[in-house]
Amino acid sequence: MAERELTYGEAVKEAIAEEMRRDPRVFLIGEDVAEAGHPFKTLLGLVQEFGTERVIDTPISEPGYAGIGVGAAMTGMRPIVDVMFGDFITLTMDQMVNQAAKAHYMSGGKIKVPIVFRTTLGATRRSAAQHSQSLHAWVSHIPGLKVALPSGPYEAKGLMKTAVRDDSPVVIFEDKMMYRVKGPVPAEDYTIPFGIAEVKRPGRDITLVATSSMVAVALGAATMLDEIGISAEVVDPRTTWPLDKPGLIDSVKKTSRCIVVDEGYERYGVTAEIASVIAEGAFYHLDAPVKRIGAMDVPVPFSPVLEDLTVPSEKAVFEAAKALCGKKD
Amino acid sequence: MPTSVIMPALELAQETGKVLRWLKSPGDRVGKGEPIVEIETDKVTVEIEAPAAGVLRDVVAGPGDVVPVGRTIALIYGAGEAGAAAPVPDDVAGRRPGAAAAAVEAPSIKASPLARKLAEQHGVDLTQLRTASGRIEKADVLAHVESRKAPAANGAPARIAAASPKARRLAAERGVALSAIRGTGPGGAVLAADVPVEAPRAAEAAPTVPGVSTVWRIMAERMTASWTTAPHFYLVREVHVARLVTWRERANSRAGARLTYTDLLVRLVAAALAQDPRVNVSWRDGRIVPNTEINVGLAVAIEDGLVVPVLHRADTLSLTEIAERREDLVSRAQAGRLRPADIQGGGFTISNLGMHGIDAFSAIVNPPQAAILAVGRIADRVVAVNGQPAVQPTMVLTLSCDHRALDGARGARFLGGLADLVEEPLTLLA
Repeated sequence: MAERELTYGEAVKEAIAEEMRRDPRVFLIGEDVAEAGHPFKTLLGLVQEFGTERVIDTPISEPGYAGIGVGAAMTGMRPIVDVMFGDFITLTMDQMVNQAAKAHYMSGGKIKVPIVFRTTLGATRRSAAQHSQSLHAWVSHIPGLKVALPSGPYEAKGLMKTAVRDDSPVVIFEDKMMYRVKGPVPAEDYTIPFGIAEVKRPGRDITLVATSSMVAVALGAATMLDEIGISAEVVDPRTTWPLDKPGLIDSVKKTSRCIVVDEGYERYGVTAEIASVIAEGAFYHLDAPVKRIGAMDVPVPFSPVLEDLTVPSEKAVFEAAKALCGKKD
Repeated sequence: MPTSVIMPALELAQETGKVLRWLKSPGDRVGKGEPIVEIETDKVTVEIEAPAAGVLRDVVAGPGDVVPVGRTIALIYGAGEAGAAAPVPDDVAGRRPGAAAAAVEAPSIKASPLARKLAEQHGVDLTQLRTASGRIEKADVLAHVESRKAPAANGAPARIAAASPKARRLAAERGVALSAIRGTGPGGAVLAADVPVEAPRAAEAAPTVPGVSTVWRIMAERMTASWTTAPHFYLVREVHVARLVTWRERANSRAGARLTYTDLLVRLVAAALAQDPRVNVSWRDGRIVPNTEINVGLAVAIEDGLVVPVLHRADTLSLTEIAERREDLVSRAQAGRLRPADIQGGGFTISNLGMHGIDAFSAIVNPPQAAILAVGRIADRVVAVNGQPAVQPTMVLTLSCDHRALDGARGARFLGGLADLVEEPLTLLA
């Protein structure tokens, strides 16, 4: 039998539906999550199965419903809070950072906040500067939060199910450009552990650490590099916290070179953190500086031509890898 | 840019080396390849040759100083480089080697780590620096270096050679001076692939034996260390060697063969070690570490004492190869021309005094090895054969073991296996 394929969006929905069937404490709350089935159509059909008590539409007030979610989690529920665009976490930050991330510690472990914030990242959807950012570095910075970045349909289902079952607050960033991407997704129940990087493609000469949307870019660059005799290893950390430091360091110890690719802004970003983890852990094995490639440090332009320039491309990763490996034209 | 004279790694596990004496003084003109300093490790004493021609300057390690491998101990300024032609300023000429190193360790000086590093590189004595704040920083050291070089026209400070971290590590491990490597990376940076696999300078440095006393002293130190730290026990076995004797006579009667009993024993011991790898171990830091190869050392008497050159991977060598290498090693040992590689990596030692008419003796283990085999002479002795006295050639083998790495049973099993091979050697030797 051929492997069953789902789109990234369908995989997310299947994970949420399975978890809601498995555990009556799981519910979904956010803007347009019920009848509208979410603007990206990822939640179509859930309200029909679970009803409006468990799939709750809210007014346009991210701080309000994020607070409802955190309170519900503190009192025994397992909410999935939908934040339509990653850009809107600016509005949920107090609930995420000062409430959800802290309650367990400040209550001496008496309170758990098993909440999932589900949101998006990624540019090139022509959504302009306020709907195109990748702000996962912001929450990765906060102790007490876990952050997952599914890079494909398989990861989308497995990481969502792990997130729902985790007793800590988890923020999942889905790449909004990947919702229609298809890939094999097992029909059965499975989870993907947090903090374990996956080698997507083994290689010898350079490690491309890539997250979320950038895994496909790195794999494309790796194919191009193959043609000029450079063997690239592509590693997907899958979660920025917990971060699989030994896994990343081991890969670079093997290859001696590394590029970190992530769609967040390059400055003070996820790439900076991972690059410094590698520089520290694999220092005496490095034969070239660790290179970062992130989104250009500008508000994402509305012009499609300009917008495309701000996102790391296969070509950019290819050229950088070639330079680090000392290949001349 | 001046060329660094670095403390070379002459052995795999070597972390530091000791400066015995400088053969050249700061300000002396040296030719490339000319011996400039004597370095001692716990196994050898070697003369280090100048890696480049020029003027020796900035000597930072004096006699008796123990320096980490890979550390720069002096600089050689080539023709045209700042400092090459300039008269040596008083503060350099007058400074005793080692003064800077000692000063760096003095706790009373408040200097930033970078300042200390720069001071060490440039041979600046930090105690001579006065600053308003009382703290010494990078700029203070560089200013001092500049002022020192004032007589030179354009005294650019020596820069750190550009190299990747991996290349630096490999160069240090292989005892190669980075400055001697032409880098292929950006801006001429040395990359891992540019570092030669062999350590040319360390290996090429002709390891002369500078004096009777040095070899003897090293032998004395090592034997004392072994005797006082390794609990020894001894296993003795008399073996029948009629077949061994016959086989050797036949082999040598054929054209060209000049096999000694030592050659045969190397082969048999290597086979016995392969059979019983628990004897091919080292005692290191409280652990029994298996040796990865079968490397058999031979105790060789030379004019001034004892050296133990090693037949590496003896289990892979034919008898002819063993004989050739043994001849080469012994002759070079006696000429004092062993290279560091020749004495490294031994896992087991054979000491044969049979040629001196010794019946049997007990040797001292050669650390970190676990055991040493003492071989006595082959002589006709009366033995019991089928209840009757008979006269047959025998040889007494004595195995000395370090009880931390071996116990009696393991040692006995090995010696028993070896004795069987010596008594029935034909399958191995044929």
